[in-house]
Amino acid sequence: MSAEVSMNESATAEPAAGRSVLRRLLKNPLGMLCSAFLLFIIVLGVFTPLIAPFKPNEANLNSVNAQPFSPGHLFGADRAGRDVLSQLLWGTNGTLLGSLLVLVIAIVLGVTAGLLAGFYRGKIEAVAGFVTDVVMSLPSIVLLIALFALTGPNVMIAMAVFGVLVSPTYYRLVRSVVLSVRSELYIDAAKVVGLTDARIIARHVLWAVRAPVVIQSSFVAASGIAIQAGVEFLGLGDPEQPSWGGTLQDANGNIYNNQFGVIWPALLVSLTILSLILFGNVLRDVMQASAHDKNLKKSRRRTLLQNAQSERTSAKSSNDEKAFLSIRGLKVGYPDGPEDVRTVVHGVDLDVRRGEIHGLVGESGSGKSQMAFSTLGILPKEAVILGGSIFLEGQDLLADKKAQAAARGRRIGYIPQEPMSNLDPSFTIGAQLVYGLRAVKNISAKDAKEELLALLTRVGIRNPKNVMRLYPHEISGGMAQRVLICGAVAADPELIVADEPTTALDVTVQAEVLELLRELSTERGLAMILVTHNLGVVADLCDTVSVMKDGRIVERNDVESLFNNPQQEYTKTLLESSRSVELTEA
Amino acid sequence: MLSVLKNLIRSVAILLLVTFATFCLMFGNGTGIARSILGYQAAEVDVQQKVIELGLDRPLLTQFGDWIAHAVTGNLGESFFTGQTVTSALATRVPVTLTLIVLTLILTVIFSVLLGVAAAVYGGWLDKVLQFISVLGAAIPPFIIAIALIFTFAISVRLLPATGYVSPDQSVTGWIMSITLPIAALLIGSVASAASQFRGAVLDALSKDYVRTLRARGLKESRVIFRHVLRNAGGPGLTVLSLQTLGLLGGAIFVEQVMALPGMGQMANQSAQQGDVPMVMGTVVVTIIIVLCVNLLSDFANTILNPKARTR
Amino acid sequence: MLRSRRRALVSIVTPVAIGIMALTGCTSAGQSGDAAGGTKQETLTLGMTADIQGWDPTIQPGYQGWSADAVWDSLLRCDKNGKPQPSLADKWEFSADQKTATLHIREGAKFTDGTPVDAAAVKANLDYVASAGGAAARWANTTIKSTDDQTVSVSWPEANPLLALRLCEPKIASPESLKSKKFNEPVGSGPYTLDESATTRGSVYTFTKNEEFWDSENFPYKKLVLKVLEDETASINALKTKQLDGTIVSSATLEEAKGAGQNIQTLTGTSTTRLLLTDHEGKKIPALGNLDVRKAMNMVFDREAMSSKLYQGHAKPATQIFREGSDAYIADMADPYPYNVDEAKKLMKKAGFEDGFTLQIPTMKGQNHETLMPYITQQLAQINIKVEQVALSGPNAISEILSGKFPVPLWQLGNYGESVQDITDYVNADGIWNVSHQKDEKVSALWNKVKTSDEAGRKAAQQELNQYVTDQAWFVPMVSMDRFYASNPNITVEESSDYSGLHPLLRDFK
Repeated sequence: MSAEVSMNESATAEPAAGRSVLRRLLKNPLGMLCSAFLLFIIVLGVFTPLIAPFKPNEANLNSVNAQPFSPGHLFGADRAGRDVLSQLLWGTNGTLLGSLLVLVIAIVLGVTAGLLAGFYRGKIEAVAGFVTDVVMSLPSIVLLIALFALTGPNVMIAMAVFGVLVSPTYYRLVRSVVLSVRSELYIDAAKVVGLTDARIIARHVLWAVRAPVVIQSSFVAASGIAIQAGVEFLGLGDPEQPSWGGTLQDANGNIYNNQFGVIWPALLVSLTILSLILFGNVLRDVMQASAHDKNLKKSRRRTLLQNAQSERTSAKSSNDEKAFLSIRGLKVGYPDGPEDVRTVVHGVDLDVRRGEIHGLVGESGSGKSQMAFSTLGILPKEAVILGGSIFLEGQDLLADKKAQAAARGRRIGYIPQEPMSNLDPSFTIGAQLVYGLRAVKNISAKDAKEELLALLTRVGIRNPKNVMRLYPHEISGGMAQRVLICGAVAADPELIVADEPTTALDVTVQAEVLELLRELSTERGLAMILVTHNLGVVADLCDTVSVMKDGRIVERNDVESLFNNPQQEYTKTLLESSRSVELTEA
Repeated sequence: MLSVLKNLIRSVAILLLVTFATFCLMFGNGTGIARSILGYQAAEVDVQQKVIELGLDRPLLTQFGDWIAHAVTGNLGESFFTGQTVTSALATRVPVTLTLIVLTLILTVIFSVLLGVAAAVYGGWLDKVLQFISVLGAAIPPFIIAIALIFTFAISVRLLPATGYVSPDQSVTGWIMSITLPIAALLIGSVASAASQFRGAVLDALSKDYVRTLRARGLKESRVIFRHVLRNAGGPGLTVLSLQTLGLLGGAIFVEQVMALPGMGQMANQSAQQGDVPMVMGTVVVTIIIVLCVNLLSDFANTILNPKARTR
Repeated sequence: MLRSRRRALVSIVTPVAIGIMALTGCTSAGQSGDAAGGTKQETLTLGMTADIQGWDPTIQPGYQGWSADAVWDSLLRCDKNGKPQPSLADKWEFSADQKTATLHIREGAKFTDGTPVDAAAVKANLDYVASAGGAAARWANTTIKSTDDQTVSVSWPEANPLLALRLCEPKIASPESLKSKKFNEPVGSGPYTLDESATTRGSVYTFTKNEEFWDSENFPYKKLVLKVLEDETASINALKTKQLDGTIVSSATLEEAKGAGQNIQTLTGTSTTRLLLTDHEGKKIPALGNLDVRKAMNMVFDREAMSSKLYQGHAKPATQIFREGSDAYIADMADPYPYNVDEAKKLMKKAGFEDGFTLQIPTMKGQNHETLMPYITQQLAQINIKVEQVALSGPNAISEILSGKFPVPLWQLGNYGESVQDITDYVNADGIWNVSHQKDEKVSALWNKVKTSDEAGRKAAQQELNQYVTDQAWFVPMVSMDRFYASNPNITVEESSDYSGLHPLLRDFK
């Protein structure tokens, strides 16, 4: 059933402190609503003997098929003259009990099995894993119906069995938590001489596990109610016991004489299930760190972008005429709440001439990658460009989205950092390259293939025909990076933005790739923005270098001048620490 | 291919295990079975004789072995009461249920891909609407959806037949009309959860590095999504689908009951209430086979979609 | 690039392929076509509210027995008044002492497997009925002889005023199908044959016309389809959308059917809802042996309210189990047990059963128990009788109820135009529905009178019996109810020729 499926989406997470969870839960309007409704239902169930206007199955012949809102019968009466409201009230306890049964059995079985399997691993885990797979591949309602042939009408037994069928979800949850906790503790345990205390692990694990278990329980309870109502609806329940599903079944059979009779049990069941699911969702949001509250309001974003755009159109172009690419006053920010934006690039200027290899150095978090992505227009969705312009031969790419799209891939190319994750694993190398090239250049597939084969050879791949047939996971990191370089260069761009192109490679391959980049630049007159934190690379390859710190360019110079005569303190520090690393490595 | 073979063997093992467990439960009480066949006024002597006659006094493992031996040749036993063979009963009912499930699955794929991609890519109000609908659709049990549909379309508005099944070789339009409401009842819940999960898979794929690189290459956003993102979200998508099948099998039972469709679910329900054990047994076995087949197929499709899964 | 596109296609094609495979494997039963314009339709589709319980000819119920009427023929056919008409037997004779029936089987009658319907075949059938069948009690100690190829005689040990009825009941199946005892496929000589290929047990049964049937003109439809729809809502829906040509409707869905333009045939007052207190000797339930207890049980039901509310006015309060106008019926009988819960309580106290007792009442789907039981349970609880419902289902349900396991069934039982039938079934010790089968001297004596007297004497004796069982509170009659049959205007349904007045018979559909 669908409710079961939503259970499988629960994930492990950081446990939050108990009291603040409750507070956050109650502050959330949806959470409040659901909690109130569920509490209401529980209260109704517990206090039914005091509240219910009629006794269970009390038949009043004068009320047969009474319409809703008739005197004495808020929800009307059924074909035997029983008050629908009362029947539903009397059935509430049965439903609550059933859900409780499912939860208790599922938790006891699943959590215990998960603890044992995660801790002892080996055979226990293998067996438990197999059993879990088996149980999870069984359609529960079919088994419950088959069970009826054995046990007759006994909803509680059916719920107990359902609890068993549902326990694998807890098993998986607990087991994964145990595994992660275990790995942490091993490290600690290595420091302490002596045996690890199983009780400590158990306590720690149970503490870690409680959040996902609680969240999961909400969904399990929801599916328990659904299955119980379903079983009763099919007629497998005790006819003498008022129940939600039974009332629905009766109303359905009587639908011509009392059209509205089905509404009340249907609503009750649906709303209760809905509350439990929403409650689980809210719990999940509250208990697990969520990035939701970091979203910028749409209106705010629009305002910010509009301001930036109006600045652009009114500003005078103070770009360097000789530069191929001119960045002026680039400001980039990320949302820090619905109204606030945290600036990561504070109005940066940058010029790159044709054929110039321009290094962009800085520590992680300095904003250099943001500059690179902005140039290409591939910043993540959340980012906001707060201001500035990027002039490509005089045309402001930020002012004209179409121009930027036209430039991307054709005039400006991109070489990413991590080769393996930047190739689509589902397509062959050849397919990706050919398709990518044909997206920006109007040539036939055959011609594209020929060009690419030649280019692959050029970037140093032996047997390119074979490589084209391979999948990304079948080639080495070095080869992958060469492929990516090939892809970037194939459309014959004028500027390449390379984001730490050698960082993820082996040292020996690094040198080769750097050499390749230099050759390509010379051959094709390629300008390059080379983002890196490695000053050795800068020294090796670049003509000019800009140093970034905290979203600002602190120094810019040609390479020799910068290395020999750094002006800024920060630059000096960078150079010193980099040299000492080289010394130790050497 | 090796992984598919391993999966096949595993599936068969699961099938045998579950079938045996069900068999033990169903056929465990030999005396009870004999008595329910002969009727309650039967003499003790006759009951005992019937037990021996049906071979219910032999050890369960032997009985199961016999059952398996017959099952692989297609003989799943006979109804205790009407004498009809289980296989012939299933042969007329399985196609109805399968039609329902397969068509619903196909439509689920179409709708959940469209909705999931739209919600993941466009976000905003579309995303919120999808999330709302998915919670609603997942919350309301299929039989309630079915009743609501009957109420609207067959009683109030009177467009479609509320109950009954017309086979396609009788009348194609009649067939389409008779399965529209049942499929709708199943589809709503199915799309609700599948679309939401597919959205998650798409969001996941969208956050990958290579998507950014592809954009940087100059590919149009639409191409990035429809060629690359969908392809990569397909793997997790298949997992979602096989989970859905499980849910659909359960939902189909309710829908068949409410809308009077002569499928497996209705047969299971009737047989269970009558204590017709061989029929119930047969239905359980066929259900498990269907589930295992769907899992195998989705694994197989996964190896096609996902090159990494091929090399083992 | 092409390769990867193909691969994407595979993942879509796979589920479609399964779908196509499933569809081509489809073999489901058919449904009635709509009547086109003025031409008569060839298929008659009727709804049944309960499934057929296998093809044993001796356990076929009279209620909704269209399937049995389709495949098998009977020796005689009793008309609406219970008078015998020719069927497989074209000539017959009842002995003056009402003990023996001699029947001549018509020439040329054949079973659908080609074997002749002759005296030997009939004898085989009657032997089976008398020994093993569901109604064996009615044939106890009979002598069955085939005097020549086409003549059979049956002799009862005692005078049997219901000879005709007895001979109308058994269905004549081919001896082959009886021998195997499997009863998988019926073989008879009736107006139709079962089409297994278009049949799904528990759902749809299809029959094709048997052109060889001697009375085939009276069965104009070439095809008969019986659809099992246990749910009343489902069957009325099917009727409205023309998936059925006719079905039984209860008072619950009557207005709906009328409103949808269906033709309604009403069978008035042909059933009486009652509790049968068969354990009047108190063997199983000691309290029931006390007359005051039985009287008290009669006094806790508001029959007026039941008729007007639970039956939507389509019923009348009943204080006797016999049909109004029948011989046993006592006209203007004052209500012997008026509705008075306090009185009832007093009676229970007087009887010493103030604390009541537990009573198991069996229930079955399609018998209106869902509507009746809550009220009955509640009212009996007023005098501390705790009712436990036992839900029965499946082929053995009826035999379980008739076995005496539950001494107090609640049923909407037929009352007959010929009240002798009621006496035989409900009052006599060997009556089918007198499930505890307890003998009573007065009843035996009066029954003797019924058997041996002339018409006036018979009537008097029956009325005495009626008075006796009423005084002895052997039953708790509640209401006599109407039964309804709804049909589409495009078919003609003649007035029911059913002797038990339950619904139109197969031959009434024209």
